[in-house]
Amino acid sequence: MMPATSTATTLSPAELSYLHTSLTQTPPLRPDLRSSTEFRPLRAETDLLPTCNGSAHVSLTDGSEALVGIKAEVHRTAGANVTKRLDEEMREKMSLDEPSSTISAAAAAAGLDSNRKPRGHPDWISLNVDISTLRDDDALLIFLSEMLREPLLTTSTTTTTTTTTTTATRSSSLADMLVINSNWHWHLHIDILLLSPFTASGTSYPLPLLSLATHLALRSARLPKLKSQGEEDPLVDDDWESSLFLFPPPPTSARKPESSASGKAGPNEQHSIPPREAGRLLTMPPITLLVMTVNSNIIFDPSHSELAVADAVLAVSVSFSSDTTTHHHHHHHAQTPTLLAVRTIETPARDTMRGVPAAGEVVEGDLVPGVWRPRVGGVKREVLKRVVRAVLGASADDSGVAREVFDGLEAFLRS
Amino acid sequence: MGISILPPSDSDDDLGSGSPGSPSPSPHDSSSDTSMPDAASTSSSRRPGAGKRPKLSSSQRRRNRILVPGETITDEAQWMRGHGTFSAAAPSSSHASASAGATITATLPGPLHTTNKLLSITPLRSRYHPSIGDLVLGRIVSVDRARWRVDIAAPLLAQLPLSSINLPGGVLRRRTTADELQMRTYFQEGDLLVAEVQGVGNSDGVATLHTRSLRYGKLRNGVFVRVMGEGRGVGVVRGRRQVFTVATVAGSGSGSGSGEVDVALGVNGYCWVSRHVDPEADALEKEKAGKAKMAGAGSRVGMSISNLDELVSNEIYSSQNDEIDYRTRKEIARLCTCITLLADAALKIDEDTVIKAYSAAVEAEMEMMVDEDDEDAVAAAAAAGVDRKSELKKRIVQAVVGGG
Repeated sequence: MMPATSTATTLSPAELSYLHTSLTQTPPLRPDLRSSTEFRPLRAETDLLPTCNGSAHVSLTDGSEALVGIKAEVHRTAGANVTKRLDEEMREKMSLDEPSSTISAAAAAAGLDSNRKPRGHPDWISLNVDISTLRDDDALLIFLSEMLREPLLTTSTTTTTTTTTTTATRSSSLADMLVINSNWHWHLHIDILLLSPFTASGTSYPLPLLSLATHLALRSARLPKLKSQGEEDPLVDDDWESSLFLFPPPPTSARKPESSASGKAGPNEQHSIPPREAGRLLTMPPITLLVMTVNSNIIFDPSHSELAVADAVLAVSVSFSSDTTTHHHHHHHAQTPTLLAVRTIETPARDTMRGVPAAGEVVEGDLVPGVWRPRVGGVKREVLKRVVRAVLGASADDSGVAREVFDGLEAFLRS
Repeated sequence: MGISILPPSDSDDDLGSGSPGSPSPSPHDSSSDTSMPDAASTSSSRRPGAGKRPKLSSSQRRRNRILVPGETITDEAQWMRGHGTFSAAAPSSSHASASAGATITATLPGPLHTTNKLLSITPLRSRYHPSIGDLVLGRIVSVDRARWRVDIAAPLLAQLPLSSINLPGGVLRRRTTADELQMRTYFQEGDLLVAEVQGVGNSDGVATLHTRSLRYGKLRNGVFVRVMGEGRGVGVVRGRRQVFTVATVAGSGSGSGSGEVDVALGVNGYCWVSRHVDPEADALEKEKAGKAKMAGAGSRVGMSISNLDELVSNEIYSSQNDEIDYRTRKEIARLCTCITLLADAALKIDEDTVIKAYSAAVEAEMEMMVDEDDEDAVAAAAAAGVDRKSELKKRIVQAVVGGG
């Protein structure tokens, strides 16, 4: 009999009990002696696939690797012609002073306001996760790809207060950035290959690795420069050297690092941000962090065995944005994390075996210290609040884990 | 402490080959009594005097070269094929020349061994191959009728018959159907146990285990570490002491615990690091507790060698952990890290290297603690991208390789 893929093996009740007790200590004592907010070191490289618009390869020391490739295609926007015609008709009718409620509603539904850039559509981003040993319709693949795709599509509305006006600025979502004109858009294919010894069905363990890899791939993704303008059919520049970053690197106060980074790709001006209206927020791709709680302890980046004793598992998605308004002299380009979503994930500790007490069987519900009892999940409101605070940072001095992760990613991309 | 993202590097490999006493030995050289010609000296340019000994003539026989599966080793008829090699059986076909029939190809990736005229390949890594008498750690995969299936990192699952375990209530008890029904109270899926290989099936190579000793049985109070089993002569060493106790720094202070930590290294690469339990003292204590409890219920015989077994085995199948203090837990975690790092650095794992690595890790922590007070040093280290773990690994390799 072949051994089952040794990953599916559960931990023994004695191990679970030991691990759980270790993690409930103050400070939590993790098996690899990390602090509770410390991440495992990653190895990463970007732009490694020559035929992709952007790619990243990220690996963990436990043998998990993620390879992400991003491919962009020019697609015709579905229904663009129809809405255009409707728009024209509407204008004619407006000029004839015949308000037609039906047509204007249709035009509004199409999001085609003449003085605004058209909005993107969620279908323009397709994300696909592949794990070599799993079927394509495996629940884990669908779960992981939706967990990764969802934060990419959401938009966060931030209220920016400037000295002159208070405007509710809608930060552009990724889909909105793919608009070329009212007839054409870019379609992004994000393909993720995961190599991991821990891919038992239902585990959320690879989620942060995939999220960080996707983030890095998106940050390295470049779109060819458009030669066409306005409503012309898109014509792109063949010269890859002059391509533009989908997510332009945030400007630094010191100009030197940026110019050195761009030296490889070409002259500086190629890195200029694609035309965007001022006051719009410069967003960065979101990241999803996996956080687990054990009693009242909050633990970031749980390893596979730590996750097995979690009282509750939370996936926290965070986006980053910085204000690009430049009419103020005080530039602060610090990326401010914005919470996109907090999701609870069922803890793997639910499906574990109960421990056997030394003194024989006890009454159901009695707690014997040192004996493992499967967790039933659930998280207290107060703990949830503390998780969010730990991710986003409670005050100005305490920057929060999301910011630390972003700085880590930023430091890697600049190096 | 945030996240550190580093570009991919080969520093891990450099570490191994760069050190003076290279930790990755080449079994290829040590056991071969046939000298290999260098790349330059082909069969045509044999040195005089070396002609007596057989030599592989092909120019690709380079020192320490790793063969890949499918690669032709030799096509000379004088060689015999051993493990990890394959020779296409030459049928009595007229067109196949004699030399073509003798072609030996590699079927495993790894360096070539030559023993006189026998060519064999030791794989770079492989699963554990059980042999009788090995002390192994295993994890229960399934509970079958009157036996358990145990994962011991071998190509096939091992089996542990119900008749090969100590049952509570004495050694000489019959195995009844009632025992078969409550097998899960002894071992359930996921449980870890330490056992000995009692036999290996002749036809299929399935190992049969037994736990008929007080040293064997269910594992508690600790952490499981998995390192690579066999291959290249690294990993857990066979034939050394595999279960030993390490006196840790947790006991040196005023702590209540003894600070001693038990380490069990299974030949199959599964290891267990746990709080030290002295079986006799433990049994005495338990007996005392039992006596106190049933003081009124009647007299009990004292502990003797005849019923020691009985006293212990009542508790042997529980999965209840004892209370373990913070410092001991920390040292257990540190020992686990040491074992993992030893495996990462492709070093041998035995009592000697584990203890050396552990003391190096303790020393390193002391120094790093001093460093941490100095904020500039911490910032400099962070800027240089110095990762603590790789630093620790470097120190451990130095300690182990440098010392012996």
